[in-house]
Amino acid sequence: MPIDMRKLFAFGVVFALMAIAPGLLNPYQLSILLKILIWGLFAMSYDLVFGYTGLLSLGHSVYFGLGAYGAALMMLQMHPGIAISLAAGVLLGGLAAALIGLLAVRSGGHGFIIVTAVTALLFYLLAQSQRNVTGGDDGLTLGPLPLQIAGWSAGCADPGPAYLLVLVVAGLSFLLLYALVRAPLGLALRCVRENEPRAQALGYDTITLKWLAFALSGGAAALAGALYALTNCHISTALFHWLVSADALIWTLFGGMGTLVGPLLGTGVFFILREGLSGIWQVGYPILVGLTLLLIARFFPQGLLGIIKGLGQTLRGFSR
Amino acid sequence: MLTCTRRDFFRTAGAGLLAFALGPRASAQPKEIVIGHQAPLTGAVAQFGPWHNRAIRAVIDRINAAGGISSLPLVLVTEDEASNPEIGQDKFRKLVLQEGADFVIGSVWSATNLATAPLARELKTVYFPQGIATEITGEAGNRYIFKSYHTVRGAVNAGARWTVENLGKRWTIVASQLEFAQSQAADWRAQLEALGAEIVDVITIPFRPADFLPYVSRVNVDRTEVLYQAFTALDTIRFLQAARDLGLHERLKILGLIEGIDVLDTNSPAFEGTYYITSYPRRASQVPEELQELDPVYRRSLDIDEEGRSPQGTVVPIADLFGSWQALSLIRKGIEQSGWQSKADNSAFIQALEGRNWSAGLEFPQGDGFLRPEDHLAFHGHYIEHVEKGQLNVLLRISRDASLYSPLIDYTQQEL
Amino acid sequence: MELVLFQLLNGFVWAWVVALMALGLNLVYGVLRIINVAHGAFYMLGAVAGWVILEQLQGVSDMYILNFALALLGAPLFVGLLGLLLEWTVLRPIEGQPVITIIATFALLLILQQGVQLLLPGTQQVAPPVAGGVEIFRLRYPVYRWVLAGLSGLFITFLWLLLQKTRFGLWSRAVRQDPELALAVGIPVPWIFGLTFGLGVALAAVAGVLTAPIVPVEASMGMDILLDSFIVVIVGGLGSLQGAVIAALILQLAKGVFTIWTAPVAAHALALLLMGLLLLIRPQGLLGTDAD
Repeated sequence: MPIDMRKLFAFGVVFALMAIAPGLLNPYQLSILLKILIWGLFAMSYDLVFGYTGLLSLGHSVYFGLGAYGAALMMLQMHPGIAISLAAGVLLGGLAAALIGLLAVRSGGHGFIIVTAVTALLFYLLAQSQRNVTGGDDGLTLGPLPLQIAGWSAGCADPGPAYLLVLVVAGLSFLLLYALVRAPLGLALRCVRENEPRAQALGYDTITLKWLAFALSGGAAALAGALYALTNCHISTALFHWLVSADALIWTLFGGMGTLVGPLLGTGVFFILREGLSGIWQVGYPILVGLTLLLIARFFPQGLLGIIKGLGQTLRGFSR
Repeated sequence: MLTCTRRDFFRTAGAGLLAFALGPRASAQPKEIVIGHQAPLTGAVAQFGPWHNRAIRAVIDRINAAGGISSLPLVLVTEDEASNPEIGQDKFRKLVLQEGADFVIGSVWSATNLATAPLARELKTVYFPQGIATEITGEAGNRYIFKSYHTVRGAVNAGARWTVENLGKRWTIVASQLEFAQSQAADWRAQLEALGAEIVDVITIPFRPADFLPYVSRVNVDRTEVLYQAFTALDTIRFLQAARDLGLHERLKILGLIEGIDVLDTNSPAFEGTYYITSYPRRASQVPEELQELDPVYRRSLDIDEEGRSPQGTVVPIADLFGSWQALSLIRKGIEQSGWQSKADNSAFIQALEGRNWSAGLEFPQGDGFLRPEDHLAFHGHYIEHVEKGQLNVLLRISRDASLYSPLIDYTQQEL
Repeated sequence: MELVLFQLLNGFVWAWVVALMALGLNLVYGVLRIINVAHGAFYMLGAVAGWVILEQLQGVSDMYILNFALALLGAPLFVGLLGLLLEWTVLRPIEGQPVITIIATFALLLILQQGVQLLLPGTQQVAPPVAGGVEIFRLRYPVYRWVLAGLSGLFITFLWLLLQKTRFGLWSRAVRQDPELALAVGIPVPWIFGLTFGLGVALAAVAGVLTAPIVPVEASMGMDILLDSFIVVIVGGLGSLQGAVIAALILQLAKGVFTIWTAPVAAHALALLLMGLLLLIRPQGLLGTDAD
């Protein structure tokens, strides 16, 4: 599929707007926006397996968690600088995804869900049992990101330039993933999702394709985790819990599965929604999420993007 | 395939972001003092948050009724930290950066305290953590952190001598994996070694295990005299139940800190005969004579009855609440003495509190105490209590000096 | 040696609880082809419903054993009916879309769990119907845990009889093999779907009531056991009931054995690794016929 220049232009505009956000928002709001970017990247990585390839994973928290711990431990032990710490996280998470993927993608559609969920439990337990390394439930506290731009330094409370770093990394990852799903590989993945026997008949090695998607997705999830660890100043074993994977599922489904913008959009909406809720609604938030999921599952399987698209078509129909 | 354009995304997301950006913003309000409460209203220690909040509100109301502090009224902003360090950090950022909190009283969840401490330093905001892990008054803390209530090490030192002499010399420590419990295991180990007692075994148990029996069955019953337990309230019940199921209660003495049971009703067989190191008697009848005038005032302002219960009949963590109560009393003393007007005066405020002494009174109903300048830690008296026929009775009162230990750090050397 | 026996015994007792859970999951999977992510929430609901029934009966009857028996029957009945209702209202309309259905069960998990959290915050304690312990090798083991294993076995036997000896069982097996053919020969397939889902979650509720006296009863109690049941189902072979029981025994006994050398958390992880190894050797499961 050709790359749409208008879309690239729109991306540039959004990116530029996000880049001037530090001038418009207070540091707290900036820290929320930073989290939206990181978790949005996680949701995008998730959608590569879920939306594009049609595999429901409950184990993506493993790669996020490994990315986070890989980067954090590298930073705490060796103080090697940001790039190497990020690379350590991505390498650890990506390798684990490549290995686990070998077993997971062979276990069939339903088996895949169970195998991935159980890997989440396994890594959660392993992380819990190595408290002197991982900090257990209490977690690890890191110092602020060693990043300074023209006297403006990153902090744990006020992200400052750390936000810009994450914006650039998330933006580049977005473009890379975009190029990937537009490339023949993306097409092949969708083919596997729509009709696996036919894909096989067409000569695709579906198992290898699924494995590739899983490994790439794990690597991207690990990148998100590494960014999280380095900018948040605190991580804990809770990151490995399968419910963290389920969060990505929720955001992706809400925003629109099988797209890259959808997961990002879904993450943003849910974060801002959670910010706005207080008191009883704070406690009731998961119920709200559950009801929303039921509605989406029943009526809007294409999520928010699907609704927007539908509205757009209706409007265009009126104007004609 | 990608039919939605980026422009659609921009339209929706842009509108949302704009609304988000125009929300309430931190602003300098010289006319009031904003107290932030990072409260565990949900999650593992949800029984504590509402009570601390209530204690804070009671003191604030009393101060405001008397015209505020230096004629500035106090305002309380509460955020739920959900017994979770990540959320706790977010809520601390929100309290300070968005709600403009001048002082923050922290959660009782030690992990949240430890994760929040660097933020307090970065935002130059005085923080009163309510968790008891010893580390918060060491390397993990900083000059903006004040502990208005004991840490584990203070309590351990207070009770060590008596327990070793009276309960036994061969100990097994059973502790949750959580920071505040690991603090207890480490501090007891040091104390027991210093007193010449023997540590038979240390058994670490994850937070909320599915089953306690596989762990409790590892206790060496033949060699152990004292079984020391360190858990959060919920796990304490289950541990004591499991110990009873295996018949350990008949063969050894079980000891813990009050923090493990201060929201629990001790009127059940599992608690019978167990010992606790506490910082205030749960039952009014056990309060020492010199504090008996203050005790009813304290209980009344929090609606706690003579047995330590709320009007609904739930057990109130009466000792634990002193931390928040005294934090506000200290804020008042600090402001009055330093002439604090805004956060710009924080360094004067901090110096005014370092080394502060107090005597028993309405502001400090727990009794005399002082705040050590080096590690900003409060020292106060302790008790040994024992469950007899389902009720906690005081066996011994321990003076404040028994809990003293050499500071782990000297914050007064740190820049402000 | 005492410790070894103790850990094995404890693993054996838990195996029956996990087996009950896994059987429920497997039954639902076999007939409806759904991985029910909300299964742990129904387990929790069973325990909570059991607690509510015991509270209500407290003033009415002094026979605690009788009350407990009533809770053991009443709670699963309630949860089963709720399951029937939910299958009909929530799952039926999206039948045949596996991914969407699984997401719907996840939504149910969130709603049920947080609903209980809102209505009944905190933790409840349920007293065991029989107190005391039996001395084995100088270590006391609680009597109730023996009872728990026995009752679980009893319920599993009932389930087996139901599936082998009744018309429901016959029809259910027919639907399992070919729903369209079953419909053609006049079997009320929609009812079989609903009843199977109800029965499956009722089994989780039985496990919930039975374990209530030995675990804290609270909204999130179903989270951990859900994943253990998952692995048991897949290692036993998706859809295979005997396989689930065998896999449950392997998992829990392995946990017990590993606990002898290492801390229970690490032992749990090692036991899961062993299950993964079994899955590598037999991807279709111990007694599974083929992949789904």
